[in-house]
Amino acid sequence: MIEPDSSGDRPSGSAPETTGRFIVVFAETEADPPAFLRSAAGLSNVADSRDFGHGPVDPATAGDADATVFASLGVAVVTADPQQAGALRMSSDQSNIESISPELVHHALSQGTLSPPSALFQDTEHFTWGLQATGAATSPRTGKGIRLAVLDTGFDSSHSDFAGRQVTVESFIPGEDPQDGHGHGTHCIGTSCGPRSSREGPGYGVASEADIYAGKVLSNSGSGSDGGIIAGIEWALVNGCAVISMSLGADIAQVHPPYTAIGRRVLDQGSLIIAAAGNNADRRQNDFGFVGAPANSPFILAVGALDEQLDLAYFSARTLPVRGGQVDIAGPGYRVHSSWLMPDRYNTISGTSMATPHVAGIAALWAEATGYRGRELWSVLVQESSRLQAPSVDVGSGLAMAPQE
Amino acid sequence: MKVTVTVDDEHRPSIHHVAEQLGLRGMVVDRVLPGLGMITGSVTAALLAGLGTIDGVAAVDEDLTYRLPSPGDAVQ
Repeated sequence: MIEPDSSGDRPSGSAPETTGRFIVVFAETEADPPAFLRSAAGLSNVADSRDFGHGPVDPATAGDADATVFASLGVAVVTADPQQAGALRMSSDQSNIESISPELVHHALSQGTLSPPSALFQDTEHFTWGLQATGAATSPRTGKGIRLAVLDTGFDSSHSDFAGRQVTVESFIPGEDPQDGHGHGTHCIGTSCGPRSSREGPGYGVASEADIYAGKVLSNSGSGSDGGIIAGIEWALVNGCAVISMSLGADIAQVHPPYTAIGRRVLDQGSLIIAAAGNNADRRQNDFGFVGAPANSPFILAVGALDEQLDLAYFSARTLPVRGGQVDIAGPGYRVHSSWLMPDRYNTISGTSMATPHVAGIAALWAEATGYRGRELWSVLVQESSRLQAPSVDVGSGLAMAPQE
Repeated sequence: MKVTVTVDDEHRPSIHHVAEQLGLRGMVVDRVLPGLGMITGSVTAALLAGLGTIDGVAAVDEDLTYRLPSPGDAVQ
């Protein structure tokens, strides 16, 4: 192969800088490259790396030569006048030579000058900042036909923004009905499945046409335990939910074994658990926290929280250095506007609890767009997320992004 | 104490039989969850160790509790 313009420096643009010399790559069948250069191109002064023994090629000696042959590589650096270069090109047709290319000038790679992201999102009259940042605001997908479970404090079924929506409710808290008496569950359902447009304030829901499964696994006072949570996961699974959103966690710096088996078995059956990384960091005090249970289980997708500049929220927990303990992805989790108990209707709060339903809603959009479930759905979320400047121990693969087609 | 029993993969089809055996060893079974292969309930500390020896029981773990901040807190 002969490069089209191998006659020296290229003048401008992004063309590579060259030296005027050539790099000749010999065919493996060429037994004596120095002899070939002498006979084919008439080069009289050929230095051979074998003459330097095991030491490096001496640049002073090689610099005076017309060609320096690196025998082990089957490569030569050649200074040739136009006539000699033409002779070499002719020879390349005779299978002694694989290629002749201009020698490029290489520079040490400079220190990265990556500019900080200029992102600064804010709520507008149309959309919350989270819907804008994740591309949910412009996604043609709405989660239609996808069942999404939110296991939390239940749901305020009287909320006017959800009139006409398909909402299935169930309580796993003894003595409490599915009605949300806290607000947290209604907020998470709003972010994952609420409306994209609202008469009062910005649209705030990612998967605005998903079928909502609201499982109450945390009481009106905000507490729960494994028994109810696991029963809620089973309920979501049996009901064919493709996505199970869990904005809950315990600050335990070990993997809680039941969730390893549960996460794997849920993936095997075509569903995906997405859980909050936790709020146990205080980065203002250099306390980075750790991903708690159940998000630190290997088969559960753990979500960190970002602010409006796509910087890490100060409370968002860092990867726990055990198998499965990583933050996998991040979502908007700072000053998030969403639904709240009537008559308040709306509330703006922060937390990895708020980042999680953003990612869950986006998972429902991808489930609709691709038909993927379980591990494939996990994979596409990670693959399509937008990489961030923040360390992967804090944000995993970056900001979850909604499909745009 | 509240516990979660993980049934091993091999015994998931016979999870109800595993639950019966747990009951015979003193566990009060709240829920049998065939989809996940889990059994939840409660047991006294004295009888806890005996559950792990039942055929089909992969693990017995004490329940964790989870608690949200109060509704008025800025960080949830």
